[in-house]
Amino acid sequence: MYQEVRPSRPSVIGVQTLLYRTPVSVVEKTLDALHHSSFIGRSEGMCNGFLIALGDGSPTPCVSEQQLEEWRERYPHFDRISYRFFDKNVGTSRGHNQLAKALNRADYLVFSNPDVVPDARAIWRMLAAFEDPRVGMAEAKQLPIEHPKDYDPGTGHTSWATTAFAMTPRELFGELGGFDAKTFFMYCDDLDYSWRVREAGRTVIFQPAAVVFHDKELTLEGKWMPTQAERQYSAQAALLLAHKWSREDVLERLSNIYRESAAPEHRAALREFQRRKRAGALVPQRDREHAIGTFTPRAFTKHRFWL
Amino acid sequence: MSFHKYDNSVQPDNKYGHTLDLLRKHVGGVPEGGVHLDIACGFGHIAEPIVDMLGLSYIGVDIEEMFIKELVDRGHEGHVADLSSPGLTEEFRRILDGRRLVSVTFLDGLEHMTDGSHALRAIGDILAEHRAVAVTSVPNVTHMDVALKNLLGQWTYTEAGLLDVTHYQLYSETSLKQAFARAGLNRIDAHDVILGKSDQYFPTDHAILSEKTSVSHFLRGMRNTAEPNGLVNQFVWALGPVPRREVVEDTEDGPFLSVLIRTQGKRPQELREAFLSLAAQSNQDFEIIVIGHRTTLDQQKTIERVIADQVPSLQERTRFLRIDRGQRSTPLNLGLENARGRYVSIFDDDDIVLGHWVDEFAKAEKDYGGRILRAVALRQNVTVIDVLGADGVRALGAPKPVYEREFSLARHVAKNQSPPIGWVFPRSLHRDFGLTFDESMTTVEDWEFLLQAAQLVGVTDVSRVGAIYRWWTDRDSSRTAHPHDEWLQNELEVRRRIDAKPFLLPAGDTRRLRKDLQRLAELERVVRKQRLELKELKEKRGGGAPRALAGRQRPRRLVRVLARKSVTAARNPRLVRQKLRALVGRRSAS
Repeated sequence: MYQEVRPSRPSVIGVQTLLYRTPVSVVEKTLDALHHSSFIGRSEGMCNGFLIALGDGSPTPCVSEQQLEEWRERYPHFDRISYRFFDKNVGTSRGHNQLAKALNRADYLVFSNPDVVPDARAIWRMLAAFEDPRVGMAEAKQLPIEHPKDYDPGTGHTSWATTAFAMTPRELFGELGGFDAKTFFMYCDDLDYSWRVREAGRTVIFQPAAVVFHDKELTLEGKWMPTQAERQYSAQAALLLAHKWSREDVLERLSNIYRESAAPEHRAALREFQRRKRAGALVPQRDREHAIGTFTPRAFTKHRFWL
Repeated sequence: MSFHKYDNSVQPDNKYGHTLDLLRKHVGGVPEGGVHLDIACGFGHIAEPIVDMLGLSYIGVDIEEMFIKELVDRGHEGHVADLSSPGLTEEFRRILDGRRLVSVTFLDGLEHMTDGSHALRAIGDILAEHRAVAVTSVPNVTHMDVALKNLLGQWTYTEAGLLDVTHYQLYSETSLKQAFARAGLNRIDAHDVILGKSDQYFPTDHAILSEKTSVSHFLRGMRNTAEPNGLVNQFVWALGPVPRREVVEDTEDGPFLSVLIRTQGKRPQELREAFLSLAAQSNQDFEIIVIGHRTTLDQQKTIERVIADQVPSLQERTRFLRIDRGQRSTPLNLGLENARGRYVSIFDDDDIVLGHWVDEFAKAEKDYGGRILRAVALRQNVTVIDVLGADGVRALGAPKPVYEREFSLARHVAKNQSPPIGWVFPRSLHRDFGLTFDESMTTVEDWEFLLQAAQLVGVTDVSRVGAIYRWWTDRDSSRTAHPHDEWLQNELEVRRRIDAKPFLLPAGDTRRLRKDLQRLAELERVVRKQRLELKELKEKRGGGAPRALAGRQRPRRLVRVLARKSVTAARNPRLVRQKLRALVGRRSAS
């Protein structure tokens, strides 16, 4: 039988998820999977605590008190399920930063999208990567469509990790000041955090053996279909990222593309960037030697394929 | 002796001969004073052979006094009894009067009774009491001749035979087995009477009865696949006693889908990913049957571990079966036998589906239930790598749309365009039509199944990407585990089978076929025209082929010239080149 990779000592895991108009049934599917993961982790001595923190940026709460009580009954292998209604859409960076504060008992934080279903071993296989103290962030592989960015097929080293399902030591997260909520509302906050992890001398690992399901809609030709909001926020985030990581050339190229783009969301993204610049709301630039940021003509690192 | 319509003599190939064969086979040592009870004996056709052959005392029982009188006149024991009486068991005990019962016959009696249940229960009781054996004979109302005519609305009673006017109960193999099971009787052997042409084979020029007509050929093929009794005229079965049981019908309370995952336990990470894509389905109305094929103990444990890692609600809907024999199809057939869903999916242990895969099919069932449902499957190149000591699957390229988006059965005859993960089929195809995966096939078993199934029920396309078919670039898979020759052999065998039978195309496919044939005719016309032009060109130059086509550049130049003349040809210069070579070859040879 194959040998399972395991962490050598038990840890307290804190999983944080941001809801936005998320149906309870979707949250439950994620919780069911995490609960089974906790059960396996405890029964195999890999886990000595499992905390869940839900943050809700919806206009009205997705989860009622009664629902919360029901979950606390139903999921005995969670030490705690906390729920915070933000009363406004605070974005992913600010939302995750606030949730992380509530998970101060956790050794490791797991950032999870609300519609992700993790395999029961995913967390423990990601945790095993931290046996190497140089590792600062580990990312699971998404199914059914794997993220196309490149990673080293032996070490798993990669430029950045998506926080659809990623893990980082809570202490490191605190040291680095969490996600850059001043700059990023959503999108590229994970990229920026990954690069700051690497800037701090730690590595970012992609572990394909740790799998989570994060559904995608594809065209009949197999192409990705981003929504209008995804296009706008990712365009805006790309400009801000290029600025922050001192890539004036990329900033100029993107600005030209968005200025000429027929898509109104691209022009809106550029306008917002220019507004911030005029208002002096941009953060100081870093990585002037371009040692960390890995911009490529079409993405933020080399890709193995394009969707 | 009076004449009766069933007054047939004992012949080796009729029901009496078959009955005696079964008795000879199943009656062991005959105890002192052992008796044979012949129920609904008529005038006792088999009385003398029973006595002579088995050395048993013969006792006939019938409701007709006239028959019993004849029997007694011939020196046998006979009793008049009402075979539909609830107290028949007691009546049999009274007749036997403490004597040892060795065997029972009940030939062509059951179908004449309005309610044969008391007779069967009484037989069950006395067989159990004496550990005796019984032989029954019952006409098969589902004989091909009856069934084919019935399809055309024809049902003709006759004085005797399969549709005897005096038959009250009509039996198929299944209904007869059920009647016996309820009475505590179990078939232990059979020696049925086979008739290619039954007494219902009339009129003799009936086109649907002739084996030579297309419609008959198709229907006979379908029937023979569904169940094997099309030519059985009479079921002649040996029966033994078993506890009575109520027959449980195949109820419709199963889930929408049965997902059959065949695995050898050699790809645990891929199996884990397959399970994950099922666990995440938006519609959970499915069961999973994992069939471990030729697994070692370690592989079995590996599979069990992957299952144990699933959430409890999925584990509860997962069954793990094992089978240690057969080819690739054998585990699928085991899964089919155990499936309870209205639909069935063949899910290899390295397949991945999108989150709406089950739901899209379930929605399509509402309007197209009974048909094969087919989603778009993309193909993605993948490999397995080891990252920090753990195996992981790594995509090597984007998922590609390499399979035809719309299903065409006509085109599938030439080449399979539907990986199994992209379609689901109604379980009725197996339960009612008897379709299975051909166990002699070492590859392409899914193509063979699809071709048969699509003819019968048709295919509905679900225009949404539903699945990722993984293409292993540098490791073992079914593609690499079998030599190229073996794949070719199997493909040839599938084609041979298609060609051997009438083929039913669904509505719409004739249009596609017509378009394809028209395109082919147009291509042939272009080639003919170009051939003529080439001939004229050569004649104009006067030098014949060797001069006109000297050097390697000439044909290419000619191709370009010809291609300019025809857009169609320009799209396929290779075809033009082939035609040119053939032409030059023929010229040179002449």
